[in-house]
Order: sequence, then C-alpha cells, then structure tokens
Amino acid sequence: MLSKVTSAGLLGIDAYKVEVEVDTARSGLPAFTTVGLPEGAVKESKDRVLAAVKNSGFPLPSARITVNLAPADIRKEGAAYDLPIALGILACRGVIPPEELSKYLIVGELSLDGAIRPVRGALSIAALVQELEGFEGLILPKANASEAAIRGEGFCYPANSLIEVVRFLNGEERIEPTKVDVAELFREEMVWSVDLAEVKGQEHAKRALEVAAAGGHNILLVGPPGTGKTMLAKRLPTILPPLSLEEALETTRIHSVAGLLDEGKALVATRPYRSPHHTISDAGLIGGGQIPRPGEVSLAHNGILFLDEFPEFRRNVLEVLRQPLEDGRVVISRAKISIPYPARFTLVAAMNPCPCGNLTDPVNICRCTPQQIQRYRSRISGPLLDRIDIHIEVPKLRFDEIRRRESGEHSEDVRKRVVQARQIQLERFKGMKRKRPIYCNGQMGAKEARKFCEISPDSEHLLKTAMERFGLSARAHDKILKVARTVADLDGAADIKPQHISEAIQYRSLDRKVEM
Amino acid sequence: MNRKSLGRRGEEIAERFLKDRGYRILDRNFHTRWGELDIVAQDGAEVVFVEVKTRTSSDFVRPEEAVNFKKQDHLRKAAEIWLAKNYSLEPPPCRFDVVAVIIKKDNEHEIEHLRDAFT
Repeated sequence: MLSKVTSAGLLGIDAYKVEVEVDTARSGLPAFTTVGLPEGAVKESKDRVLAAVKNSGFPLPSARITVNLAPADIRKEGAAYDLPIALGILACRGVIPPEELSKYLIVGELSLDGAIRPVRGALSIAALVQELEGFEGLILPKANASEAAIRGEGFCYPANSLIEVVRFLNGEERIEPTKVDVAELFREEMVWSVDLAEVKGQEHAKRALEVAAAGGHNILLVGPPGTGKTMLAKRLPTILPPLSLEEALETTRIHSVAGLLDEGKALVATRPYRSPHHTISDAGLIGGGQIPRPGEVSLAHNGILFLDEFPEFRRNVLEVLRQPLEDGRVVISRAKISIPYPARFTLVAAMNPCPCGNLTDPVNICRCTPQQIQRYRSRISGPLLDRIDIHIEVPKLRFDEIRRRESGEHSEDVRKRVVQARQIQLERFKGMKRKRPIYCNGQMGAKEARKFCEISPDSEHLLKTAMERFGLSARAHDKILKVARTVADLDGAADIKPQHISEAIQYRSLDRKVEM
Repeated sequence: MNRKSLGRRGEEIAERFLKDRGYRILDRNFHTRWGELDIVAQDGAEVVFVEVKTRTSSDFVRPEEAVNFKKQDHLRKAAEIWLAKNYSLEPPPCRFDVVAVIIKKDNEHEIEHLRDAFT
C-alpha cells in the first residue's frame, strides 16, 4: 500500500513543498527505512512515529515501511515530518481516507504519547500553502497556529494530538481554523519594558542616539566601564520609528525559522535587540551550519545589533559584518547550498577608551602605554570603522548627576522627532533610481552625500578648521557631512548650518589622534 | 550443566512450547556465517524467527535483555538468507519473537514469549 502526504521543509526563510511518500508491505522482513536525505532528527523520526501511533491506540503489526521525502536531493532536517509520516502509515493501513489527506499540507513533531509539538518556520509554511493553491488548509501544531494565522483566516487548523487529526480527517471531529486579529496583536505586542528616561545624565550620548536613530547611522559608544553604554544601547530600539507590519512579518519570519519565537507569541512587533557575547563565532554572527541557519545579524533584522566590548570580538568575526552592513543581507554559502538571509540592522558598538578603561576618567588614572592603546584601537579595522558614522564618548557620571531626581525625556517624545526626520529623508530619496533603494541618510554613498549635503561657505570654513585642528581624515569628512544632514533634518532645516556641522564634528572622537 | 547443553535444553523446551500453541516448526538451528536462527516456525500466515535465550534462575540479567542490537542484526541477516533459500519469489510476512526460558534449580522451568520483539 502506498500513500502520500504533503509537508514542507525550510530553506533560508522560505518553505518548500515536501512530498512524504509512505509504502508499507506485509511481506518480507519487518523494517523501517527513510530515504530522501534525512538528517539527524528526521532519521530518528521512525522511533517517535511508531511509539506515537501505538500509544494513540492504533494497532501496528510489524511490516516493511519505506518513507521517501521528495525532492530527494535536498537535505531534510527537523522533526516536522513526524506527523505526516504517521498519517501516511495510518493511511496505508486504511485508517484515514487518502482523498481527505491530500487536501491539506501537514507539519508537526510527535511526542511518544501522540501529542503534537511545535515546529520551526510556521509563518513561512503558511505562506507556502497560500502560494501553492489547491490546498484547503494547513494542519499544524496548536502552539504555532496563531503565528501562521497572521497570513489569513480560515486555513490554519491547529492540532493537539495524532488522534485528533485522524478523527478530523475522518470527519468525526471538527477543528476550528485559527483566527487572529493582526492589528490587535500588533498593538498588544508593541510595548517596551525600558524607556530612555531611565538613563540618568548622559544627555550628550542620548542626543547622539537620537541622531543615530533619525538617520539610521551606526554608532560606536566609547566610555569607561559602568557608565551606561549597555543601558543606552538597549533603549535605542525604543526611539526608532515603529515597525511597519511588513517589516514585522519579515522579522517574525526569521525568528520563527530560527525557532526563537516564544510559545504562543505570534508576532515580533517591536524592533529586535540582539546583543551577542564577544566570544561568538563568525557562523554564529552571520549564520551558518550544514543547512545554514540565520545568525545574529539576521535576527537583528529591522532592529539593533549591539556588540559590547567591540575590540574583544575576533578579527574574522568583525570582518564578516562588512557584507551585511553594506548590502542589508547576507549570503551564506556552503558546499551544498547557498542561502540569502535579510540582515538590515543598525549597529551599536561599545568599547572602553583603552585596555584598562580609565583613559577618559578624571579620577582613576589610566596606566596604559600609548602603544597599548594604539594596539587596542587598531583591532577595529579601517573598513569597518568606515561603516560607523557616529562615535560618542560616554563619560563617567558625577555623584550629583547619578542622584538627580528629575528624569530626562521619554522615549515616546524622542521617537516623534525621529519619525519626523525620517519622513523628510523618505521624501528626499523618493524617486531615486538605484539598485538598492535608500531610506535614510545613513545609507547614502559618497555620490549621494555630495549631492544632498551641500554646505554654505561659513560651514565650509568651520569644517576646514576642525579638520586641521583635530587631524581628521577624508573618511571623517564624508561622515561629518552625512551626520550633519541628519542633524539638520532633526532641526527641520533645509540647509546644513554651521551649528549642524559643529555637532557632527563632535561625533568623530575616534578619528582624532590619540592624545596622551 | 554446561552452557551448550543448557542452551539445547532451552531450545527443546521452547520448541515444545511453540508446538503446543499451534506453531509449525519449519527449521531448527539454521546456521549461517553471520548468525544462527534457533527456531523458524509458521504461525498462521506469518513466518516467525524465534531466538531462544536460556538462563538458570541464579543468573542476574533477564534473558530477553541479552538480545541486544548486535544480536538483532545477526538475526536479521540470517533471516534474510533463510527467506532467500526458502521463498525466493514472494516472501511471506515475517516477525521476530524471543522466547526466554528460565530453568530453576529444581528442574522446573518458566517460559516467557515476546511476540514481535523487534523489527
């Protein structure tokens, strides 16, 4: 007896159709073979399936069972094929009518008692069902149902157990398709647990964050330990413009494929904040594995990637950041396959001013030699520093600043200004014909910077003096112009005025020579 | 009683036990270079390959536990050869049973029959 069940596998953030063919024969030696390049969890599937079928009360005399996962040339991973295989076996034994089975796309991991456990990438699989047409619906684990139902009503059938699915396919039980109110969900999930007002003092740094948020600039925070660099970085997502539904779906998809969506949570509605430890490997950062999985840069898509102790990251790890910073996506190539993942994020890096951390501290004395400091800073390569527009000092707070009662501005108010500035930028770059569209000042190349960052003669003079005084490079010059453009946008000014330039000059502290 | 004769005695007890239950014995001690089948019997439409494990009650481990993965592999290979010799065209449905025989000090014995012990 032969039966077919349609299921799905994941490649990158997209799902593809997998035909699960099950053949059972009562003649010959009993055996259970799985073909179609099964990896790890798929290979072990047979033991879970047999136990789940038996424990669900279906008699299962030993037989020769062959399972084929087509297309046979793509490696299959994960436990999502358990349920389709079990249903295929039961269809072979005449427990389920095959014509009912063919109406649905089915995914689910089985536990030994026949309960259905959640799978990865439900949102992508739901999208696949809609693309394919010809399917009445998607039968999937209940824990994934609300996530998949974002794609639409009436086609996601949540299942708790193998028995439930069998009874449903036999018409003995109804399963109500899951419904979610996306707008409502969006509103509910869009809450922040932190606020910019909680950071005492550091007005200068907060302003720099605002500029970074407004222009989509990457930012580097430099300061002694314990001055609030991490605290500031954590609050950057709260002042960024809210995610659009489209962006939220993209980010959710990545998190779902990585299996990082909390159970019952259907949507990532706030900008993600990822802060990997500095011991992370390059594969962990940009993604990797035999069947490449998304890395931290992709998990931070549409949000913030915070790298604390920036110079402590391994050199090769930092260098792989260059492609996603440039293109907004990463292509992970392995011998067998290469997969693109979206990775458009704002980089926030933090570092100490010197190895001991006390260089800019007015009280504690720094004991580092200039060579040590130079070596420490040179761990961050020029090309990488090129992609960071804003450097800002986060100094140690004085006692009265720490004890101050009144709180600063709330994230919400700052966010309003940021949204306005972004609006101006969207207008500016609208209608530009470019392979990669520009949405904010931070994405401008040298050509655009020249075009949009015209400055007046007095600004020119100011810039010249500053560059000579601080020994700034040509690289710094372009960055200053771009950041000045954002500062002017925040101001609502059409031209870049001297005060905008002078603020932008302050955001280049690392380009100055190390002064002892 | 040495190990060989203990085994043989257990197999005889098992054979009698299976016959009493209506099994038709097709073969005994079918030997191949990869493994040996103790008893091959017919139960209805099914061909049953029976592995007999005999122990004295003083032994600590339960006899059926001794049929580990390696042993199962040997039995599977031997069964394939037996099937090829006897049913080259259309093999019948098959299964593997384990019969555990425990011989006590007073020469009484206990039999445990595990149907469909592994696949």
